[in-house]
Amino acid sequence: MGGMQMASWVVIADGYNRPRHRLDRFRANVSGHDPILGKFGFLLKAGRFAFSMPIDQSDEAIARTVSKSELFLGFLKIGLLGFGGIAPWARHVIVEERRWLSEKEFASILGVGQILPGPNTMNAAVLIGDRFQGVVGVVLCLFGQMALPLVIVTTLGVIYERFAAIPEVQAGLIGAAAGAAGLVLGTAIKMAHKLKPTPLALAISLLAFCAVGLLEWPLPLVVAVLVPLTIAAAAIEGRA
Amino acid sequence: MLDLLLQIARVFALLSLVSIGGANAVLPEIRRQVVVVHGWMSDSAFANVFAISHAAPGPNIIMVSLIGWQLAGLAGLLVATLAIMAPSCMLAFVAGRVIARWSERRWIRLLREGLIPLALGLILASGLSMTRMADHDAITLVISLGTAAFVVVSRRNPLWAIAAGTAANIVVLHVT
Repeated sequence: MGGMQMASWVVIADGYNRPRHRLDRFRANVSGHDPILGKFGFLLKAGRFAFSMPIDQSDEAIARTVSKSELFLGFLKIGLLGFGGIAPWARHVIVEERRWLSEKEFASILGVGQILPGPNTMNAAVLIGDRFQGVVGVVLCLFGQMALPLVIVTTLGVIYERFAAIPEVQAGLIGAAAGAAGLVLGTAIKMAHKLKPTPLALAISLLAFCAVGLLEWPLPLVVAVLVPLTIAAAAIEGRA
Repeated sequence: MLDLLLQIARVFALLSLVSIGGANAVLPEIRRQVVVVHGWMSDSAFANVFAISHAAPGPNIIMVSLIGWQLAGLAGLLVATLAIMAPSCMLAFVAGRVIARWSERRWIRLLREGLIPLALGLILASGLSMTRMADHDAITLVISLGTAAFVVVSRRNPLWAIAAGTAANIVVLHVT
């Protein structure tokens, strides 16, 4: 149910027409003749294309401004897409699509959001809004993030009783939930790939993952123990 | 009515201040307050609210808004939403200003640097726990892994992968 409504909205919310360089690059690569591998060079190139990440300059520190309307529309889109948790969608829109923040800056802001009470992404919205447009930015980001989800959740609340028993609706919801879980996993793997953590940072990530993901220890306890540890690790490795 | 709104505001404003980790962390306490302490909802009605808020986009905390809506209509929705948002957001605002103001201090730089691996580990953990909840059979597992692979190799909108997963699970229902 939610999935279909979202899909029809996305076209409206996504005003961005990115050039399809990946496809163009793919065509250029495939038609090109590799001097060493001869006519089978395209296989290697197709493989590299399929499994590589696009070239990305977003790891550079970006010093740019983001206008009030950009902030509002960006967070409106994040809220609308935010199926199964907002963080992966926020990262997709903020880091990959609009490049407001680098991968590192985003992870750091998400981390601050994580140790404070409240949803990490809502705290991140506060920090990002304040950073680009002060108090007005905060209000715009929060309102943008919540407006459409509130409309959708109340609509679903009204029609849920009538549709919840339909097998197709149930199957669709289960499929979408499985997809959302994969989205979070994939986002974590992609972030790890781009952030290239140092050995001790990787150890901290794994500790947090094991404590919360595998052992299911309470988050406040894990945060209380790991924050001092991770600061010490950053100091030892001279990361700041 | 006003009494009910005040109660809603008090319950969720207090929860807002202890909700480190968002809605999932305080879910048991939300249920205890709504079902046991105040008797606002039955257990099955609460389970419905949980299911609906997971089918909708937005932060998981939106379930609180839906509880407010079901208890007291639009006024309830607004009061519950503001109550769960305002305290934690104000705290985040102050914390953000403090961090920005002292951004040159070494311990602030170390903190920001150190929170990166922590955020990474925690998002991986939430991916695992969502996978555990969502994947009951081989097909859902394939959907999860396929979506994860899509996100890793492509910059395209992940909605494509999720729509494909939704459609696939509906198709499977009719094939088997």
